[in-house]
Amino acid sequence: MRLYGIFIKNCLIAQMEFRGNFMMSLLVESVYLFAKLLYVLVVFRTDLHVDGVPPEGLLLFIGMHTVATGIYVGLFFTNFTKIPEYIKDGSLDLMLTKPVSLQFMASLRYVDLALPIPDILVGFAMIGIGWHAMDIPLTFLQLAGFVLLLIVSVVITYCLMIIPALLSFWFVQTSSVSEIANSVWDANNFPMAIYPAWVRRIGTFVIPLFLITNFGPMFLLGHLSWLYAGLALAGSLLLFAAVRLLWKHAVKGYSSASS
Amino acid sequence: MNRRRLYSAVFSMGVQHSMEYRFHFFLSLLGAAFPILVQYFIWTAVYRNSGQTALFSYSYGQIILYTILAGLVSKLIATQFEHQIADDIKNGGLNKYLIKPVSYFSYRLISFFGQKAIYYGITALLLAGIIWFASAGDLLELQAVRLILFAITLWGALLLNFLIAYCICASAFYLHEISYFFLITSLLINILSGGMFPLEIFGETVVKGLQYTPFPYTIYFPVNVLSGKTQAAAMYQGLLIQCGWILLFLWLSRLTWRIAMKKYSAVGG
Amino acid sequence: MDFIRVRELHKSFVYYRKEAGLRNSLKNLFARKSLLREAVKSVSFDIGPGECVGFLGPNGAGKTTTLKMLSGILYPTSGEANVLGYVPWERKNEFKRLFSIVMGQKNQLWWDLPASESIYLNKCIYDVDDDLYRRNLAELSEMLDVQDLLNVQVRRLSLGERMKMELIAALIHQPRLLYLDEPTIGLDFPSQKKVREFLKYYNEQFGATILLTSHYMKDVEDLCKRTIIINQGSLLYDGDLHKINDLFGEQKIIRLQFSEPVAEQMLAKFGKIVSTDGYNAVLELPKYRLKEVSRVVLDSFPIVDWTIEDVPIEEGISMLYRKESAV
Repeated sequence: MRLYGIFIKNCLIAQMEFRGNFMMSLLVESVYLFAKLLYVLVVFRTDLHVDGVPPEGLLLFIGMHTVATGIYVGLFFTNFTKIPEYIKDGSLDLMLTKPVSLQFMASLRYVDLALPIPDILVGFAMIGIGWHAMDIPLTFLQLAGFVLLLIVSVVITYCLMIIPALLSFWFVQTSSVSEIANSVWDANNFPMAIYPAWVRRIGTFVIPLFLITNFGPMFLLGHLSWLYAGLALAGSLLLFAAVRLLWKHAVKGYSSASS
Repeated sequence: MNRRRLYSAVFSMGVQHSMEYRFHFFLSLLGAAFPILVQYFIWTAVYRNSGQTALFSYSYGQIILYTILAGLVSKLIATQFEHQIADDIKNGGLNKYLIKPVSYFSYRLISFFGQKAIYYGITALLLAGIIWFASAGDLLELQAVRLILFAITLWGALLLNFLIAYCICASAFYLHEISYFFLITSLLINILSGGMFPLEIFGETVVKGLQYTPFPYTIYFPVNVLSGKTQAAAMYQGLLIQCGWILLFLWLSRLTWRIAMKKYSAVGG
Repeated sequence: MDFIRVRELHKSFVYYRKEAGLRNSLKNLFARKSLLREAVKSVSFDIGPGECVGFLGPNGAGKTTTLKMLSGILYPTSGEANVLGYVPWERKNEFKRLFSIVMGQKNQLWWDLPASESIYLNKCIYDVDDDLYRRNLAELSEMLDVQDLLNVQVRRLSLGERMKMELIAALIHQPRLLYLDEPTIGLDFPSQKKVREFLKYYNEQFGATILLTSHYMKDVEDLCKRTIIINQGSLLYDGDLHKINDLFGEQKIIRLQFSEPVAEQMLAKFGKIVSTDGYNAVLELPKYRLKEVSRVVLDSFPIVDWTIEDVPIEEGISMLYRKESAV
């Protein structure tokens, strides 16, 4: 894991090289954040209650979604967009010859430090406001449960969002699959209670997308027991194992680019 | 005529390009559906919860119709050539066109239309289906005039959006790192055009203010012409304004590119 | 035991063909014709420790594909290989630590960072201990004369300097086996020479085995005692590069210079005319006729100057290719 430290250090140095880019990344993510905040605007202007949760409570969900987005764009997004490139231009060849897990090298090599800043800041601010407004006690147990579910959501995010990138082992152009994945990602913006039951079931059990941003806030609001939190953890680990297998299978069929 | 043969070749190359990757092609159709679906559920929850018949002056049916139409229209008019143009400028690919007896502008416009031709056809079919469905469900009062005007404004919106994007591309001559810039502008333009939400959610003053910008005339205006929200008189007025914006941007794009080109040739690419 | 042992290695790729035109695009959308290309056809060879072997062949001959299979990047379609006691495509980490691959067209160095950062990253990837790392880095950078450039961003380096950095990064863990895929591509002559000298020195000094592909005859000529030539996936020749002409019987080249023009048809009976412009002529003929022809030519033509040479290696190789495609 010392290697990961060096990755981060390298990325930091490289990003400091171009201050202009750094600011631009900040700006881009802020604009995206602005688009997300439009939903907050709609929620408050219509005084939306979902499942008895008032607008302030919904902030917990939107905030959680924003934090998860921040983590996604910071740790994973750059890598996942690069994997198809590696395959196309054959850079994967060189990585294959390194005595380090290829999946680790290819999927966690780059860390973007500028992109997640606005998301994480604003996201946690929203969670803070929601937490306070909903009179949720700030106990160790609550915090621990929330952090646990946050970790679960990071693991699930990794597993789900890497799948489009993996498809590029078989298909040349997969940008539209990633596009779909990214637009489905935004379905998480709201509590899953707004969706009909069948969508909720698919989103929880088939493609555990809703786990990413729903379980944390639901736990805080007392809608989720420890049992489910534990199940979510187990589920995420299982999913990780499945993705690992898929990766292995994909690499096996890899035929490097000519030249 | 030679010119016409050239442009039809460029056009068909664009079509082929979009067909080359079949998997990509079908999925991008699916990709358009998801955000619309998500918004549908959100609005459904909002209206069910508030119990009011109209929010932001839209009825439930109207807002759903708006969401679907705006989603389709914004997908239809979306430009994706910014990066290609920026690439041409940065890596000297532009020289290729400068020495050929083709205007870069027409080349881009035609190949853009070609790349989206299939998409257009399918979107048109979808639109027809939705319009028929909506009018059958009494959400939409089908008027021939509005349908015709919608078709016209949609073409206007296409052209206008192309011109705006083309103008923005000229900035690639000056800015170093351009891809971020395109991301920001395209997203902002989409929001300001009403591609995500009806502009009314921003409040009265913002809507008024935006009327003086070209953006609403790419998505917000055509959609509302069709849905019947725009009054008859305002429709014709809006059409005229849209034409005005197109002319202005045509002139502006010529101007910015001429200035930028001068600089480009001066440094020698 | 042999260092590298390759038996009947075979690799074929599936690819699709698209014909021009819109109608074919539409057709392709629904049904694609798949075709099979055989990149490497039952290639076998053995390489011992410390050898330096060159792979020659035209573009698309299968050189790189072979190299990729031997480094575990590609799975072969059939056949077997054993490299340092491992099957490369099992991709064991212990195996990966023993070799290194440098590709002239790809870089592993991070563009925006000084090379030293990327080299340090490799140290961590290969688990090189601190002492050894410092010693290797000092030694390698001195040999290549780039000590001052280690802390410059890679994008500011010239192509030649970048290649040297690539070599350092690849050798920092002291691999026993080094694969080089066109290491001198795009370099100017002084840089090519420098890289060659370094590789030769490294091969002799550390006893590292080197496998090298190149388009430049000179790379192979200077570095490698042994050459393997492949074309269209098949192995054509394995041995000393300079003995390649023996394959075609003993051919010799005679260069003639005349004081007044000599017509082409007058020379034709002596051997194959490679070129002539009236005052100069180049003839190719079997060795056994050399004596006889020389005497006649010297007697009957107004000769100013004349030389006898071996057939150039390039010539021999292209003859080899021609022979192959005629089959």
